[in-house]
Amino acid sequence: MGKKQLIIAFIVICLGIIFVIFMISNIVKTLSPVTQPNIPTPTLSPIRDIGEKLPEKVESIPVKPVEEGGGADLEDQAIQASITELEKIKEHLPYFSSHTLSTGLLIDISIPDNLLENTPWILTVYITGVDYRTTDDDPQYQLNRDSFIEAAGLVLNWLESKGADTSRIYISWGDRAYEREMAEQWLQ
Amino acid sequence: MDDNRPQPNQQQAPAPRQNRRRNSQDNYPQTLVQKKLKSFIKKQVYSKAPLLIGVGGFFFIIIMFFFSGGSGSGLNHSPTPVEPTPIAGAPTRPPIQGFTLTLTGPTTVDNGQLIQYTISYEYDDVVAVVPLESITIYFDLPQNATYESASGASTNSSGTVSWPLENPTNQTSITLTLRPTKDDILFAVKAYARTTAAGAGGDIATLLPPQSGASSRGDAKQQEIASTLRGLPNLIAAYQEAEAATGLPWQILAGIHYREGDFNPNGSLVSGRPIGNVEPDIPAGSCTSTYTPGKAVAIGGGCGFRTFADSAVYAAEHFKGKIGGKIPQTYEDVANGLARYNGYPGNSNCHHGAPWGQTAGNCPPRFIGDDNPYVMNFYDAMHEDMYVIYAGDGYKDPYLDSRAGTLSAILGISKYL
Repeated sequence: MGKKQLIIAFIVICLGIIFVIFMISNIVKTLSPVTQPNIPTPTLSPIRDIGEKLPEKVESIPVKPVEEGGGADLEDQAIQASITELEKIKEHLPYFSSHTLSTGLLIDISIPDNLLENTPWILTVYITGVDYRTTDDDPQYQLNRDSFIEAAGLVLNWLESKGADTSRIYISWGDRAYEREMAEQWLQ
Repeated sequence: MDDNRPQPNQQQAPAPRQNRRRNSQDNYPQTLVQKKLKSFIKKQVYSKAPLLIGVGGFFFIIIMFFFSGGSGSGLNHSPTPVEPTPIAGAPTRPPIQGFTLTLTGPTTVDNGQLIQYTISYEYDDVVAVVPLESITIYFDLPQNATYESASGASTNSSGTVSWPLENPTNQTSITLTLRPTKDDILFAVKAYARTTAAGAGGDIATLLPPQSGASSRGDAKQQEIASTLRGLPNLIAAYQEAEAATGLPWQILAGIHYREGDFNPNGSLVSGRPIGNVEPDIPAGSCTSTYTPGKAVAIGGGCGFRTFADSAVYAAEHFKGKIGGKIPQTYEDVANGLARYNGYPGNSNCHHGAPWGQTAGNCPPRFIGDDNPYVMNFYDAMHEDMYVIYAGDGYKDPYLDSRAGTLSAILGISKYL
């Protein structure tokens, strides 16, 4: 075998290896988007100033004194107003949507109907994908905070689009105390 | 010593292959055309050998690439989507409140004779929480016997004979006849029942993800969980009561209760706190002083539960709420609901860079909850030694979770209860 022929053989094999590496890198790139279990939808609604019509906090629901048995005072006007507003959206529940926020975070919003049947004066809204246990020294804190505020804005926009006055509704942001506390803190 | 001649009584070794071929060729004289053709081919092959090797090598690499699936899986743990295969699980065998089953048969029969068993049941509709029509009776055929006949409307499938009681013809004593295939054999047989058509559609095994490798440690934990629960029939009855009220399969509630309250009959499904105490997760304004079964009630300035069953119904409704108010239809729904019950992404091991999540192939999660110890710990070989990120709702450094996840508990209940 001549030296020249050996060089040609070497070059051809190298070209083959380069081709394979190129194909693999392309396939890996193609697969990477499936890492998210949900298919995100882009955020279509503009981010609103949610300070305008913040919903009522569940912690501020009027309750009866313990001596009178405690619990929600269903005769209170604020509770009745919330029931009235929530009646307007009842037929549109359950609501579920996924969003990729401007922060880049993928979240989903779930508003079930079954919980509203139990407590018709409270709307439970789950915004999932935000880490409510983040602390303010966490580098991801701002991302989570901004994402929650943006997602809450989407929820309020949707409620308004159904004719509800969001400032008169009691919204429970999740059903764990730490979730609600962090959510309320961010909404301030 | 140089004498190579064959010796007497020795087997002669065959001639070397090359010599034999040459001899063979000598026996067939070649034509001039053949000789020239061979000479031409030899010349061409030798002169172009390097190029042929190169081109051959090139095509070999290409072919090997495509035969390997072209996924690059050997180089990169890429998240190739795989169609999940539901695992086949044995029917669950929980006690059903208000339903008792009796199996009778001969103590001995002569070799070669048929064996007839009678299965009867009692149903107390005062205490039962599951309709009779939602119960199916099962009988696993033993080894060394074949199915001969059965009364009623039965199905003989994969070695299990079943009688759904939704069929009125089965709502009486049932007989089953077997033919032994071996003499002098002792059969250990039993009939059992499980609920069907309740909740997500009956068999909880259809709502469990496929296992990724066997885990002896996980299996031991699952057996232990089933063994503990077997001794707590009142708890099972309460879970089943919640299933009847909400449609959520009771095994999911059992899994949650294992994780939240360690099967403590006095610990709520919401937080594990004693029944009758204020639940911190339920704000004071979300209950009333009027007691309604299945709901929280005002207790000492907050809200709590009067009975364990109430906490089970409440938990079931909130589980459903977390997945859009529906009953889970797939294992992804179940895992998703459980992860959210714990606070998603919360303990996700991929999300927080826990050591489990850094093991090749574990991340990204295949579905929501796949990387959460609350859901998957000790479910299979892949999910051993996951890490708790948050404890008591506050951040802590990740630590090894020694407990089975909720789905692991459900798997144990499905297999061993």
